[in-house]
Amino acid sequence: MIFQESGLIAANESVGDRFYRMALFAPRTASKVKPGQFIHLKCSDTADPLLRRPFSVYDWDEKKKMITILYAVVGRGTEMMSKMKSGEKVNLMAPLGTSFSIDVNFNEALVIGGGCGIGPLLGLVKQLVKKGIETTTLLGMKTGQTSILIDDFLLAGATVKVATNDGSIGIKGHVTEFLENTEKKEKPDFVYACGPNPMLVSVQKWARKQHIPGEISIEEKMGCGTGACLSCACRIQSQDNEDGWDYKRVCVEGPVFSLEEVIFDE
Amino acid sequence: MNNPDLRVSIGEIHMKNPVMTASGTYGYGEAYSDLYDVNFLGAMVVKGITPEPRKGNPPPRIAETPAGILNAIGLQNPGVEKFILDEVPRLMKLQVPVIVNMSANTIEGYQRLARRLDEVEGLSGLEVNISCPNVKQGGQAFGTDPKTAHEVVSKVRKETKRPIIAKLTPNVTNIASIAVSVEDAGADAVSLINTLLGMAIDIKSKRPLLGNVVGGLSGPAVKPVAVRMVWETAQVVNIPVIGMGGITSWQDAVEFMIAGASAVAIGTGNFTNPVAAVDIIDGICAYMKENNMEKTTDLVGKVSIETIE
Ligand SMILES: Cc1cc2nc3c(=O)[nH]c(=O)nc-3n(C[C@H](O)[C@H](O)[C@H](O)COP(=O)(O)OP(=O)(O)OC[C@H]3O[C@@H](n4cnc5c(N)ncnc54)[C@H](O)[C@@H]3O)c2cc1C
Ligand SMILES: Cc1cc2nc3c(=O)[nH]c(=O)nc-3n(C[C@H](O)[C@H](O)[C@H](O)COP(=O)(O)O)c2cc1C
Ligand code: FES
Repeated sequence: MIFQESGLIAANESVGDRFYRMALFAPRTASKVKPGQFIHLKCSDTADPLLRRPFSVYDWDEKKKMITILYAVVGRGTEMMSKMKSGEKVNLMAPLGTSFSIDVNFNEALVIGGGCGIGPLLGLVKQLVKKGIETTTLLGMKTGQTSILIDDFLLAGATVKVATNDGSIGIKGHVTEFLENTEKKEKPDFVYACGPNPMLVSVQKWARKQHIPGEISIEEKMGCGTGACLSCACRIQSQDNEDGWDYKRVCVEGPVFSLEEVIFDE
Repeated sequence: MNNPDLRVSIGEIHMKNPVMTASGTYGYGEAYSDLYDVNFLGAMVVKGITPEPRKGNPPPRIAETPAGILNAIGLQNPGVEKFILDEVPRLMKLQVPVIVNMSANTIEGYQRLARRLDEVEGLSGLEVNISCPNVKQGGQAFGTDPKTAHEVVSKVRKETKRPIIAKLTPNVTNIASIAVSVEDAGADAVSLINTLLGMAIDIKSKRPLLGNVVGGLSGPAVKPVAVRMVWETAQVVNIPVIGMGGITSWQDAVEFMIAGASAVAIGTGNFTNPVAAVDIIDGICAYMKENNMEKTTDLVGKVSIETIE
């Protein structure tokens, strides 16, 4: 059930680099959202910029009726968002899309996030830890300036390993380098990932080779966010036709897909 | 004063009010039913159907431009048979007229679609899309020439008893002449505008923003063009004009009606405000009441223009 809600901004703080954390008082969303789902946020009351912007829900607290999104300033919409002040209201549509499977029966999970792709992962990690699943989180960031995010995951009870492009924290390089060095005995039972496509391609290749199942959250440009316009098509394996694939909607059949089924253009 | 009478008829399509949804922005109606009772609508126009299934264009399929969007969906749809099987049973249960938007690559394809859909109960009308800019052959090609537009509509006319709405493209010099031509061919109404062909390029990568390179512009950016075309068309045809292009508020809708639209459709506006259609119905009603208008004909085409000597 999709609804509109007017979210009251409780905090909107820079967390380093181009990243911001926005906390919203949004009772309906906080009580309904599942890990991996997203909101569609209106960042202006005028016709320009026209479209809503999709953001995964980073974290939420049903009791406090709060949700948090983690976003990077990359263009006009996110620039406008970064200037919003607590006390202002933003219109959002929620809860949208599919969620990560957490009704699972395994011991060890590996959660991988790169850049903006860290966005849907904190709530997921919290739920996994709550279920007693040993959770290792690999975070890939541009610089150590966003180290506050590492604390979010440590506080959630995960083991955290970090890679930065400039080497200012953790290893220098890509987060996927951890995968190549993962030893056989450390193999997780399930992997969750979100990040830039090249990262997801590496994760997909690695998981295939190791025969580890998993889920990933992907991005595509959106219009409606509710399944009506077919703007957000991505290629997904399908048995329904001879080509072996079909366009599916990231906003309804995704953004979370099983790791196996997503076809990336390389 | 009593509430104004908002009813409008487009041929045999009897609507409670003049507000419909624009094809391709409303799916098959399922997405918005969480947000409001879709039976409030005047009519629902569903996503374009073709004779065979179409996968659609490669992504990205949408790009935001100043006060507008470019789209190149490429008529992704399951094909007429799967549409009838999977979507029509649910659509039939609605208390709102359902209009099927249809496209084909050949005139024979349009005929086949009309014949097949004529056999299906529960559909109120056909919107013949001779204006899609996003498929290589056909679509728009039929709508840019008065002769071929006439041929498509008259052939479809022979296959169906249902009301026919011809959907016109703005990518022509004289839209009114196309409208006159499809009226003569037996169309019960014309709807306009479809999207304006456009392009946007990322200056960093030098690549087009759309996978299909070019696409159709819609949203507030096109509104003045659409209002002008509705006004030009309404003066020369005797069938109802359904106006669309950039409507996001009741004020926009009223403007189209004053220009000559008997009904209006909401497209891109649904994306920014998912309950736009109901807000607009309420707004039109309040406006008419405030201005002591009893029926929509008190408003339609009432633009006041002083003749210049
Ligand atoms: C399901 C989903 C979840 C997302 N979650 C997050 C998140 O948690 N944190 C975060 O920082 N970002 C997230 N994104 C990406 C975020 O939506 C874009 O960064 C944002 O829309 C950019 O808007 P802008 O106006 O600043 O950029 P502009 O480049 O000015 O935007 C122009 C248009 O392109 C679209 N667009 C640009 N980049 C993207 C992108 N990467 N994905 C989809 N649309 C894009 C915009 O929505 C807008 O319509 C998510 C995207 C999707 C699809
Ligand atoms: C994403 C999208 C898909 C569309 N698909 C169709 C379609 O299948 N058939 C059609 O006749 N028009 C289609 N249109 C055109 C709209 O119905 C409408 O004519 C146009 O967008 C102008 O109205 P608007 O500015 O209110 O969106 C589409 C428009 C958009 C934005
Ligand atoms: S954004 Fe419209 S269908 Fe996904």
